[in-house]
Amino acid sequence: MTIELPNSAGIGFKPKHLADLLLQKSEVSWLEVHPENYMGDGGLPHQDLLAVSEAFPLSMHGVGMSLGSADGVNDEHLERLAKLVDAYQPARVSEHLAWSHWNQVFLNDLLPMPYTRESLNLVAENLGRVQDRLKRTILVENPSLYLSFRGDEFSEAEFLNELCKTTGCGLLFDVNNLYVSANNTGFDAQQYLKELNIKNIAEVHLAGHSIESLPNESKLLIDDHGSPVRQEVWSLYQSLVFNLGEMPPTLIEWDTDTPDFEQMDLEAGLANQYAANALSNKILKESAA
Amino acid sequence: MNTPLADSQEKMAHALLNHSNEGLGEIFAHDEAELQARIAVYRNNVFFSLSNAISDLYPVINQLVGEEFFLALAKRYIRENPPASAAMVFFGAEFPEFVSQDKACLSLPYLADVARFELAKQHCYHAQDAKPLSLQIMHELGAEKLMASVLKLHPSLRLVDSKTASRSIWQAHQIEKPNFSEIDVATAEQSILVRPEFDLLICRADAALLLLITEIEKGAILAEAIDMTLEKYPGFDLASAMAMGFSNGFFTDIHSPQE
Repeated sequence: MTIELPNSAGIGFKPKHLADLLLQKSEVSWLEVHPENYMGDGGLPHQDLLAVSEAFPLSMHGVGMSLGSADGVNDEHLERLAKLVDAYQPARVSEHLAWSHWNQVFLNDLLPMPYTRESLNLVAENLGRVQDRLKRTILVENPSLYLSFRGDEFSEAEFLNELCKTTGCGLLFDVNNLYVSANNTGFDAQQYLKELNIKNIAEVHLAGHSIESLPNESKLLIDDHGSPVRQEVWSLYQSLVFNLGEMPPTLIEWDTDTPDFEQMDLEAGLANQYAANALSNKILKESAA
Repeated sequence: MNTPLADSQEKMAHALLNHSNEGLGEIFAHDEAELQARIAVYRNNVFFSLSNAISDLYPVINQLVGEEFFLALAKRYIRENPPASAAMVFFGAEFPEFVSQDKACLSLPYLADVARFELAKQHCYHAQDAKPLSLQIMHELGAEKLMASVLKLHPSLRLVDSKTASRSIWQAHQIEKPNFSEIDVATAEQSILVRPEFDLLICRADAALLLLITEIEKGAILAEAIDMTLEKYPGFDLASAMAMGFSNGFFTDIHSPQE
């Protein structure tokens, strides 16, 4: 069995951080990569990935499987992923609750789907194929939403609960996405966390977002992974850790204008610290009760 | 007949690529103005991420035509050749042909050649790793055995045969302030790109060397490949060609033809 992700902070791997990661002691204890960046046959990308996979537990976080595509998952893509999983034996493999391709066209974005029975059956079927091929369960990430569908039959939390129950998959829970989607589509994030079966959460993502205005002057939050994690998201993260009773493996995502390693290390340190604070708060509350 | 989900994905894919929001009102719970602003977030993501991928792959084309022109060119390309795969390493392979046909690019005949050079570089960079043979093998085998052998090319090796000065133009753009006043863009240039380990090598070649390598690639015995080359290019300098090939890692294996 491959090693598990540690219950501490990790960051998305960027080649420019390679030397810092390998040479210095830091708050970063695991790394995540997008397998799509390693689908070439050889060269420097594979050399780098080999070096970090020998030094850190690794999570492979796909952005191209398109679990929500009505025309199914792409066999060629699944084979490429299987080859990478086989070669690097990551501790975790994850994907998104989203779709990206239609009729042989890949749109390179994580597009939303309605929470209906039809969607649930389809994602369960696509996910089943992926898990069967990889011979392991994977984690599915909640999306950041900019649109609301007419005719949803489930809340997102109910949909994820059902999906985990049907397929045995776990959750990669993105707290920033929760915050962004709650604002953009008008639901209550705390209520969502009450509805969600948080026992399914095996990994957490944190990232920054930017703020735009809609024509009616209400805010639209953009999940752009281009800034530090915001205070409101840290608060939600702390209440999640409090309820979980342990720190989940927690990833800092910063993909646009990624800063130098020092700042990534600071953000990772903050995650470790906020989680520790939430847990000590829980112990104090429980002993006071 | 599409299922409701397939129908909504077909409409959304069309809306994103074609800048029309037709049919989206019945799918999403927003008024027209708001729908416009919200769908724009996804549309920007699609075009921004894909044009970034094109710009990462063709940085010199970007410099040659300027940011604004490049972005418009990339958008036209994306609409006509959207990616078929999630692996971005394969995206953009039709860009050189697209550039060669694009009306706005017709006044810059070297553009498509520089794009072919950059694509060859990308393929070389991501190719399978392999350990090259060293020059030592020539000494070990001796001329007679060597000539009767078949050489295997390094999987990263790419030939670039341009009617324009693609390599010189590309090289001139590897420094901050390119100066290509000295380059005669109409000079044909041949290049061989290879990555014996992790560093990519760019070798200046000529039409004769390209012919020799092409014959080797087809599986010809070395002596036959050389004859073919000398027949067409009597002045071909075999010794320096072999030295260049072995010292830059062009070959990974050598065997007699029956093996």
